[in-house]
Amino acid sequence: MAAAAAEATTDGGGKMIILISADGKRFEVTEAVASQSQLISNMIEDDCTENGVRLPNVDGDILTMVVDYCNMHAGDAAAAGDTMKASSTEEELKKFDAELVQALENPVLFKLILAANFLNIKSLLDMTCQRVADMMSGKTPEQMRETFSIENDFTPEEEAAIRQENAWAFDD
Amino acid sequence: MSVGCHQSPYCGGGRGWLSPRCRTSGGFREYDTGRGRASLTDDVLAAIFTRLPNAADVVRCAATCRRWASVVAKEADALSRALPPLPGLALGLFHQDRQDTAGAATTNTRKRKRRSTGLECSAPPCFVPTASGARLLGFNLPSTTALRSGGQHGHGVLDLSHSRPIASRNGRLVLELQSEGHVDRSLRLCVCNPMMGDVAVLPTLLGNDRPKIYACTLLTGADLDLDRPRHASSDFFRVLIIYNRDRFTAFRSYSSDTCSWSMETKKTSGPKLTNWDLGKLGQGIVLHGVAYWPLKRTALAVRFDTPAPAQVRMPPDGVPNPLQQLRLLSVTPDGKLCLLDAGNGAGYASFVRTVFEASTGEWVRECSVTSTRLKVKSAADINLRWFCENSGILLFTLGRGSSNPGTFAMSLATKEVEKLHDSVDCSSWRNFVGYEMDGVTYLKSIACH
Repeated sequence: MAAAAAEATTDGGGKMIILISADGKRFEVTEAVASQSQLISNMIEDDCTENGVRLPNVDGDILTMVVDYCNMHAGDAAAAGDTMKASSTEEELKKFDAELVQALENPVLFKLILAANFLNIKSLLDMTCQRVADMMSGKTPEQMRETFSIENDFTPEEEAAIRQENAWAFDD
Repeated sequence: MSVGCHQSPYCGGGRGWLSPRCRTSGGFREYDTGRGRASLTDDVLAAIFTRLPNAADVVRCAATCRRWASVVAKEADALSRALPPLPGLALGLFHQDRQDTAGAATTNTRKRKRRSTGLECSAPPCFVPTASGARLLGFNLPSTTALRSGGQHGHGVLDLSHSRPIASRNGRLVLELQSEGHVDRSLRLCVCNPMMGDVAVLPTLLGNDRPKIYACTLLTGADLDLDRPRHASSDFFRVLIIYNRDRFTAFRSYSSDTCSWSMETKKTSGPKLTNWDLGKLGQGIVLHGVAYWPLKRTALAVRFDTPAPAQVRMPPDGVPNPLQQLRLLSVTPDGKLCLLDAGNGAGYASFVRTVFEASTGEWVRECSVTSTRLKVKSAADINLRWFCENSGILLFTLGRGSSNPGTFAMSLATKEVEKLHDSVDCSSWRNFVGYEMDGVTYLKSIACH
């Protein structure tokens, strides 16, 4: 803990942490921002963020989104006391979140989910998983295979049996 | 969070009905998640599935590809808790009769129902599947060996072929274990899930604690999910028994979370039940942690989601039109008390369901079905046996007076009638217990096609 005094600090007073993506891109964020990731929060507690945090399974473009998301949401906790500010940012946040996931192509959305899962950022994982669940809901298996580029590996007999046993779930 | 199913005692290594099917189709095997492009891992897929708004969505996801089906199967426990209740699937029924020694006339067994005392030479329980049960389980004839391979108990396998079916709810079956040959002065009950092949043997009730005549019912984790998530494990169950002491009628319950029987509780209001009434109670139905047994003009209600059971007031004061003999008290799939009556409707079997509306406190006659396929001479030819509370399937037998004797399953929703067994003997079947698959097993079973 004594080492913290020697570290560079931002105007917010937080220590800075370097995140390094799989393709070597570096992102400098405050501890408060990075701590939204439970993974990094644990690393900070264990004092092993000195030389930057390498994230070998998160690409730079995905990490950009994650960092944007965390920067946007870092205010959440800090602004909790300031009700005026909190309510105004809440709407902005909702709009930001919606825009973040709405526009994404599936492969990118999946990568974002995997990154949120790996970094253990609960709110981002909740939001992105809910987005996929919303896309799945109401679709037939055929539509789901098309949407998510899935190969049908059931035999026709197996598929017919599943439909017959679970007919209630296939009623339109 | 996700334990590989191959490690679970329930699949592969287990000896339940579901396991051979899963092995042959490779339903629970691990699937490659790589394939070079961004592909969601199993735990992420499971996290997405738990956010689906309804059970039909989950079923359609499981029908999309093998890998998704295997994820649904692996996470069935968590999914069934996150989702609204799944519709039940009535797989069939158990019955058990005395060994047919020299055709020992079945005619008087119905009138003189001797309770099983362990003295009788009993045949193994026979399982009679419905059409969907037959498709799922892979056998379509009545089977007396359905429970022979028994269940995984500790390190061994318990043979359940010497047992009497007592009760069944939400995929679990209560059996009274019978010892061969000699008079048994103890009561040994076990609770098993034949689909999964697990079995729990309850502590033996010996000596003074052994009830001679008793009725029984069962509470499972699925009953408590809505209001008491602390018990929301699919492994949880509680067994309630009601029996007579010299001076009073008593209750006690066994709980899987304490692995022990509760203290004995006295029936507080109303007189002691006669042994005759007690013997006729059969399985109690369960709604919101309370068990109900129909009596002549009312029902006996016992709360048993508490550590020790306690008698409660039957919410409606009495039940309408006491015609108990042909009547079945049950619960509708949407969770209301209901009464099922059978009658002779101009020469055909007819059925009426009367539902208790808690908001108005009134019994409302809800649906009436007359089956023109089933001719009867009198209402006494129809024997209502069991109502499958999750699927809304009524099981009944028709006796000699009918042109079409046998065992039938009727869906009260679609009014479809299915004949399960064709024999005049069906009307004398004893220890008749319907069997429905629970939601967790249901989700696992989709991967098993």
